[in-house]
Amino acid sequence: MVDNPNTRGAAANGGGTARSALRASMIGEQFESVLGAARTGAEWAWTDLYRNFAPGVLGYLRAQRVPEPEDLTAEVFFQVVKSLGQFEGNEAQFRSWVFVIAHRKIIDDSRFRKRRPADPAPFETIEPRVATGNVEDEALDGLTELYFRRLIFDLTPEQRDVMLMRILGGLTVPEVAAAMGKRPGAVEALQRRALAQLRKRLPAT
Amino acid sequence: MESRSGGVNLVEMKTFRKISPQDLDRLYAHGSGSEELEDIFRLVQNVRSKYLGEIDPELETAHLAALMQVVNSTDKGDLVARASKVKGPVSRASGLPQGRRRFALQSVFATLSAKLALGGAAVAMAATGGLAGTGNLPDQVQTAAAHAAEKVGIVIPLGETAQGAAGGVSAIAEQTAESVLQNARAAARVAEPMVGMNPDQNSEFGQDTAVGAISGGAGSVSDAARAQAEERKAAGQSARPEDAGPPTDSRPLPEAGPPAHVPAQGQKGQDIAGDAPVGGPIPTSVPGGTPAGEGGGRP
Repeated sequence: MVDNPNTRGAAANGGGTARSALRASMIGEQFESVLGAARTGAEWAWTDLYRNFAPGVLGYLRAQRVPEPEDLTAEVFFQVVKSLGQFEGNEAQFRSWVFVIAHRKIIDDSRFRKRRPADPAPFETIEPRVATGNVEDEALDGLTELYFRRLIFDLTPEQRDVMLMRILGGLTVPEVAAAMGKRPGAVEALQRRALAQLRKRLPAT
Repeated sequence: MESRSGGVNLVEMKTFRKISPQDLDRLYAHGSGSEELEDIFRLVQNVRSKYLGEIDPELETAHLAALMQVVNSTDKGDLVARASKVKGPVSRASGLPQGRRRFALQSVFATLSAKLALGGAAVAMAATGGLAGTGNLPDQVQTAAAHAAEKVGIVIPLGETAQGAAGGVSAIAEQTAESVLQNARAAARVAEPMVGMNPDQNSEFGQDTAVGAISGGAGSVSDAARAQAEERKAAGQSARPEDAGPPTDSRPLPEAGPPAHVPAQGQKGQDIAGDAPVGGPIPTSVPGGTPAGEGGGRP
């Protein structure tokens, strides 16, 4: 019988690590000075911004099943650099803005791939993903992956976007609304439907 | 039978409707404390543990190196915040602010009016091969042309009948050249408030116009003037040496319109056309705020 990953003690340590990762992604009071230094091209400031926001962006892109989430994460930050002169606001607004960029990069990437089917990946890309030998762990990991993917991808695209931005990006409803170009009321409605849908699929504990 | 809306259990929907937005915010942060939502909270934590985490150090190094290349290749001025505040979807400011847009349009129309005023005279003279300017059109036509030109402040000789057939070609040519020059200056003065043209600055233009009027579009005026000069000489009237022929300079009439670059002046507080050629392109966008302007114009 397959272990229900959702009842496995909330991935005991993983849940705590993930929560602390999300909390650590807030720069806080230093944000103004970090942003100011980034505008002057200071490497330390860009490193700070990257370390605080890239994990959420990469996680979001992975959860959205983007084919090459690492590359797209880099492109998101390239765009942040190019468009920084057009941004003004606090940290929460910056986070929302970064996710706007990520959200639109996904759309552009999807369109690009539809026009240009991918070539077979070289072995060097595939090798890290090849089975290492521990069948049981890999089976469980695979099932976990499959389980969460099914949970998330049974939602409608908009419901999925809302939930992933909230869960992985730490965005509030108004911030998600800004990122998606919707009214906060519409985002709340999407969220409630998504939660109801998820609950329907979660096994009874 | 469960009632459904879009595949979702309405009973479940009602459960979540009872939960306030603040409760949901707390749920995502650290659980709501409610058994009812405990399963959702666990799901949230599991999704985070699956997809969130520290980035692989090698990947981070590669990303940061590439990022700094982009930063260093970007003009630092582009990184500094401009006026717009991005708090949500930003409505991009396009075009000029209203006041400047109004002035820009005024400048364009003023320029067009000036061109019409100046060009009208030059076109009239060019169309008649300069004959109107030298008074060598048929009587009635000459008079009509004179009246039409008068309306734009240009004085050209009336028909012989109208002016009493006074003077010879030489007198007419001399008077005409001088009058054309004066007319050009007068026209420039008329246009000055609109485009800030200075009559002295346009003296060259006026002189060109005068020379063009004398030399004629296709030399027809010079031929007519020469013919008439010879006739009158034969009849014993005095002729100025210049009447022996037209100036060797037979440059074509300049095209209608002011010089290419005329700084717009005379209006308070406006400098928009200061660097732009008159009638040239008007900027249609102002660097402004936009979120996420990545490829395709979006961030």
